[in-house]
Amino acid sequence: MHILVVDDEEMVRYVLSEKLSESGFSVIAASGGQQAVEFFRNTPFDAVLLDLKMPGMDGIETLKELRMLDPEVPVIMVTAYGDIATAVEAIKRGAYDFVEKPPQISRIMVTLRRAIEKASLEREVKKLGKNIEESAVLKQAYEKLKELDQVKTAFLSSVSHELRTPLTSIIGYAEISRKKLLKLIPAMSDDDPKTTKSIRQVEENLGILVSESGKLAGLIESILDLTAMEAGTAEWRWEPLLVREVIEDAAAVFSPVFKEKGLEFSVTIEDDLPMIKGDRYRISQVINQIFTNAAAFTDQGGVTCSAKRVESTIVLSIADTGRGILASRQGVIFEKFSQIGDTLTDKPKGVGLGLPICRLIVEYHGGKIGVESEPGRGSEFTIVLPVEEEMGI
Amino acid sequence: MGSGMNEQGQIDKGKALKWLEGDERMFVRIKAIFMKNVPPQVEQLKECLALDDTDSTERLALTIMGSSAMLGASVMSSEAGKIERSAIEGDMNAARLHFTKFVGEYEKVMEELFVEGGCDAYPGSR
Repeated sequence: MHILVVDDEEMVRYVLSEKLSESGFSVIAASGGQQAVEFFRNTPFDAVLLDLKMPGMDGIETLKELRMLDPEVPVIMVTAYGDIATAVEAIKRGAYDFVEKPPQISRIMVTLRRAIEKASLEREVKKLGKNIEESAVLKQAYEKLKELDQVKTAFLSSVSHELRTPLTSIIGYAEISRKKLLKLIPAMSDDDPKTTKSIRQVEENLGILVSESGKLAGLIESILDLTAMEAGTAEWRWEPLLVREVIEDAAAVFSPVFKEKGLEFSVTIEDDLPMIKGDRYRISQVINQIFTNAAAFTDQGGVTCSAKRVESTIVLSIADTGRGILASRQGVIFEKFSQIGDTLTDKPKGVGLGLPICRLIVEYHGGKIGVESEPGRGSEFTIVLPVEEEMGI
Repeated sequence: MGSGMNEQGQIDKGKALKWLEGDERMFVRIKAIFMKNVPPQVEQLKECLALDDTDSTERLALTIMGSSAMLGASVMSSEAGKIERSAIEGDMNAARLHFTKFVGEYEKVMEELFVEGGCDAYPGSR
């Protein structure tokens, strides 16, 4: 969820940005009303935290401008020390609520989530062309669906946790047994070739068991990752990030993989690429996933990766000359369990969680991910991420 | 000065940490922001008072009041609040009188911050 924090006090901007980011929000901070309006014009936000008293364009004027640009985005006023009367005036002019300074983070979280939830429901209702009173049944159905989705997410998470514990034991014991056998085999006498052969066979079988269990563990990790992100409980480590470094690290890992498959591999990164505010591990997860797909589905030709600045964003592109994706499937590959492997090869690889996780990660960073592809000619994945300087902290 | 809450000092760290949810790292950072931003604001406030600029006086006093309240410097915040109220009422003579007392509190806070930070570069420190 994207939040715009507007306050002329650097201290408030800093604390709110830090605390909200820690809670999984994507935050952009503006130091005044004019800047806030500019940001609001160019970026979609889920909510705004707006200081009431600011030099130049004050909170009430800024509120008016924001409401004109998008009346549906909830605006929460941050009032200065006892200036409740003006805050009430702001509510009359369309603000959702107000919080007092110093801003109590827990109160802000509750107010923000409630405001976003309400705005989201209202948008849904508006889409259906009915007002809230008329669509009580739909609203109830929507609530029920949302509840069911949460139950499903909780169920998936719970089952995955339960599976992970015994699986860890299975992998551990199989690995230990295999290592013991590996130590035993060289010392075995040649007098009993039948037993030696059987033990070798058991060792090989244990190897398969470890390898397949590892794949299963990977799948469980993906499900846990996805459910945590959907439930908003995933941990994010936000920091100023050089995308160049993340790309170069991933390229260093995948270069030998592409080389082994006989594929050309090139990386072009524009000089002076600006920073983004991001989670290094997560962005690296996205790039690695796309490189993994490129390696899996490209048999000849090559893979190219490029990154450049376009206006206030970084555009990262990864293109391959692989088998491509059918037009009918391109719209669903970022959806959960779409199982792209099925379509391309008739040999399912995974359950289709890699790209949906990538989409969630990119969206958490305030960005977008997309694909253009032609069967038989290849695919190009494009990731657009907002740059750090736009965040104003 | 110790790092815990100081009952006799100007800065009530416990109060600041309450709204920062006990985040010590963030407290260190807001002290740095305070030390960077507030001195030029006080200078501007002094100029605005001399020029009888009520609007800017009100705004600057409010900003300083907020920053000092967030730092836990309640007395300084309260004195800044008096300047703001006088400016709102258009009584700039009263605002100037409050400013004199405010500066005394401000200097104490800055001194405490510099002593705490092991720095003696603050011009007002003795």
